Amino acid sequence: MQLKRKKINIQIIVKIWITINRITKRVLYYFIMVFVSISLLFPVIYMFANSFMGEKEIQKNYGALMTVNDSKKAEPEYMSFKLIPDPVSFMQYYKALLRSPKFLQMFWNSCLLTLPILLGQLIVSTLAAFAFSKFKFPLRNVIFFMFIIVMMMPFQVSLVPNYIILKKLNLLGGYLSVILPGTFSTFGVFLLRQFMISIPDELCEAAKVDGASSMRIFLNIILPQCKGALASLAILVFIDNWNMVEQPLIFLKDQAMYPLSIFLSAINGNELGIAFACGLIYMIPAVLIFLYGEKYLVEGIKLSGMK
Amino acid sequence: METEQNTDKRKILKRVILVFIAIMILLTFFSKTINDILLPEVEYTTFSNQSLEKEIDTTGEIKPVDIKKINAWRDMKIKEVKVKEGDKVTKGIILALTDTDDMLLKVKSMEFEVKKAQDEIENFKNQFKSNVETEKNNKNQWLVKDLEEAQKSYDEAKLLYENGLDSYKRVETCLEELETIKKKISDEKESEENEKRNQEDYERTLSEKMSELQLKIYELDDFKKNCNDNGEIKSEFDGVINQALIEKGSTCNSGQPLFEVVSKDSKYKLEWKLNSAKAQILKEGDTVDLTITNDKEESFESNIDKKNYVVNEGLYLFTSFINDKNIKTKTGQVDLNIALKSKEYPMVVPNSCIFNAGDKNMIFVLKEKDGVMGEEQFVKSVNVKILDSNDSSTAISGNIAENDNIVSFASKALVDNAKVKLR
Repeated sequence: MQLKRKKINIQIIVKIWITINRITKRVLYYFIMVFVSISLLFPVIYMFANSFMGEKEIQKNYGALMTVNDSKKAEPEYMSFKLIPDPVSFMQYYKALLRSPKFLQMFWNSCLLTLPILLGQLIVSTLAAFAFSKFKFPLRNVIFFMFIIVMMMPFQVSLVPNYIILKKLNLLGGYLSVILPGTFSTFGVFLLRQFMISIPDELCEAAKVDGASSMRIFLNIILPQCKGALASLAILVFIDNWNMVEQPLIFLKDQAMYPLSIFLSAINGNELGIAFACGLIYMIPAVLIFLYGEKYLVEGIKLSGMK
Repeated sequence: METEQNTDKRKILKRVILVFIAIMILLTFFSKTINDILLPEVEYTTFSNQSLEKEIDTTGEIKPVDIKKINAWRDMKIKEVKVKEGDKVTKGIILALTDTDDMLLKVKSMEFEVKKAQDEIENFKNQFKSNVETEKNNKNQWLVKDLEEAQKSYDEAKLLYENGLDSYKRVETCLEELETIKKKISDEKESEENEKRNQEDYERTLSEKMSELQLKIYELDDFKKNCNDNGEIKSEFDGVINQALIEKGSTCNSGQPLFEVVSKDSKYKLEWKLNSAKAQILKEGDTVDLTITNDKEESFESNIDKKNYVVNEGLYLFTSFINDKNIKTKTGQVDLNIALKSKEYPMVVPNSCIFNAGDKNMIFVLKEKDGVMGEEQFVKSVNVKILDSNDSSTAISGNIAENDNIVSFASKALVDNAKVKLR
């Protein structure tokens, strides 16, 4: 009887210990996750909060930052750091949306550059990936290996060759000079190839036996199964090209053709409030696209084996 | 359940995306219009090569330079004044009439004084002659005769005594007589000297009285001569009455000024006073354009001849001569505009072009660039040095090109690189 009671006590202690241990781990886990989340989200929160501050408040908080190049004024050691506007002001949005037609023009420039690149990449990448995954031809693996090498190189490496080629083709200065190099991306090919490999070859062979051509197989069998991968590629390509700065700066001559990403970098230091507002507006399309295709993005990346 | 949630989320997101796109399209449509409406409107000009004219508005007074005075030549009482200020007069014209009764009374009085003085002199002469001259001549003759006889008696008595014919007592008696006469003659000589001195006194007194008489005669003659005017005060030269210093019924002493007459050929001068701030613009020798306004406006060019500081007023007094004979305004207070031309400056802009930023002066130069929304105008600030200025223009130096358009008007405050639109 005593032994049985002793055994029960030990079991209770072990259970409590396990419970405490589990709770501690979970608390620690959540604490780290919350901390990381806040750290990652902080720039966005900070930008959001400051975009609703008035001009005077911005000047008060970041005046020292704006006059940092003025040798007559001493640079302070610390600057004000506020997250709550006092009072809330929509003046920066008014200035960005109604007093800066340049901002809106550049927004549409961004759309004009990003959407064709997105469309082009989807077409080119799916076709290339289909070839790499379902056709057998000499040096297939070598060529694909070169694709991977190119993908691993920073894109700035290809800027100069691209520039020379575009100049030779007399395309420099137009929208095509940005769209064409952007259309041919190795990353999209890699992503979709990885996804298409997972599609059983038997399906394609069965279609062939039924008399389907390669294009028919591509359109009717492969593509419908690649929806997730295509969506994730579309989101990634959109975000990547929505934020491009170097290509338009180098390939475009006319400022009227610059995308919004360049507008942000060119905002005067004295217009910090407008920069916050413009940054937030600039972020909205990317966030909306991400939220809309979040499910596909996760699925696509998961199925393509990139995870 | 999860699929339904996803579907709802995607529906909402779709709507948000559409709304976002719609808003962006709408804002794009209106933003340039709104922005253009709210842009500062500017006007521009270019600099020019010209001199600066500094203008000062004040009041001045025109005064004649050659003013002659007509003084009273006797005491007089004014019966009537025939002229007033500004009247043109010619030589001999009657300016005023005096009361002649007083004048005649004065003549009689002066004649009486002369007569009285003449009588006094006559009496003085007669008195001196009757008392001295006759008596003195007789006395001298008798004394000489007595002396001769006494000397003769003494000589005879002495001779007789030496011959023993007479006594020594007789000699002593004759000698005493002779000494007595000699003493009398000596006294007489002394008396003569006294008389001589008296004569000199007489002659001096007489001379004084004669001079006094002569003076009175002169005064009388002069008065009579002046009284030949029949009580009329006449102009002695051609000119214009500047000031009448007498009025009906007033009395004047001899020498007192009666009229100020501006000579016919007199020049005119313009005087004005300025405080230190304005006075520093002008200096002696400067050539200025003067515009005087009285009943009408007249302009002429002149030099500043004098610049003096009036200590008790704390003002500077400027004088310029009016050499232009066409100027009709001759005297009195006038509204005055003084315009001074400076040397030629290569860059002169309107004052409205100059903007102050602390201790620096700047102008805004209008520039154009190809912007996202087409051709855009913006302003670029350029620091300038002010060389000279007047009420309307400023001479500057700075890094400005000949064809630069300089902002001369802005509907709003401008900053460097601010976008603007032309008015």
